[in-house]
Amino acid sequence: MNMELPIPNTHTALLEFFRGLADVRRLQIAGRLAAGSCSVEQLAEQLGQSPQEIRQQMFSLEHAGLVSGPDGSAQTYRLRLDYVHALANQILAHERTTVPPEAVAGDFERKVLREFLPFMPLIRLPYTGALKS
Amino acid sequence: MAAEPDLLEFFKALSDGNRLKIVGLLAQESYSGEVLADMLDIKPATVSHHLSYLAHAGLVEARLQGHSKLYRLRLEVVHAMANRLLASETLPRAAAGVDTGAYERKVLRDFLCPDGSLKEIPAQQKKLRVVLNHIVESFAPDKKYSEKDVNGLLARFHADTASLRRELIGHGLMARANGKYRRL
Repeated sequence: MNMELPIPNTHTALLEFFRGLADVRRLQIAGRLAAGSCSVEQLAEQLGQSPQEIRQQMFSLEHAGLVSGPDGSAQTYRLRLDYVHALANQILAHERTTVPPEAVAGDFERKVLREFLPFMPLIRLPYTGALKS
Repeated sequence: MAAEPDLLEFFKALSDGNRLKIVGLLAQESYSGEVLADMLDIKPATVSHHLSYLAHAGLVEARLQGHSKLYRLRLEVVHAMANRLLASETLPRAAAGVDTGAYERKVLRDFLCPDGSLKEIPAQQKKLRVVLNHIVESFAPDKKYSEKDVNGLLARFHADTASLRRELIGHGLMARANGKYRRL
């Protein structure tokens, strides 16, 4: 449905995503925007914060890929629900990726890269020790 | 079984680089703290700190195997959170949940004296609304009040009972019909 459906599939992107929502004020903003687009001023009024505070949080949320805007003459911001859903679906997809036991004996990093791809595909592991299964 | 963490707690638990990596590793299989420390090249004490944070948030649980503790990701909890993120009402509700409580408490703290009376009638609409919601709680839902009764109850909050009465009606919290007032 979205032409450029983003998927938070790198460690950094995932971390930014969770950091974006790991703050009461930002979670509030995301929640308001989930119910409909709002301008900074509207959010400030509704959440009882100053527009400057809202702008600061908005910067983090944009950086995390969670909101986009401002759009139109009303200068509204919208929540990128497609991004939130892509992440959620990715987490749920983990259930469906089952790795056969024999693969465990293989190269650790490859296994890591493949198996928990849904969670954190690009983690670089310094660990090279033997793995017991 | 630990309770499902709330949304904010869940996000906080995953908002640290090492914790996110630990969760990623445990999504694959159970590991002991030492093995995790070795894999991530961080101090065992740090890993243990993160593991207890994650356990507290309900995301991991430990079981004893031989002499060491093996940590398991509670994938069912993670999936439940993901499903909640997919439900359209989750985020608005999470916001409302964290919002109203804290904000209203703050407004009431700012505007109410210890004896429950109002220091002043808030000028800002949003704050006024919070205060009016509080005041209207003094009225029983199905009872009709005379203007005198209403003033009597409102006088506990502020001497300007006429303004409070007007605002309560203006905000749709009370209605007036045939000289009688009732709470909506």
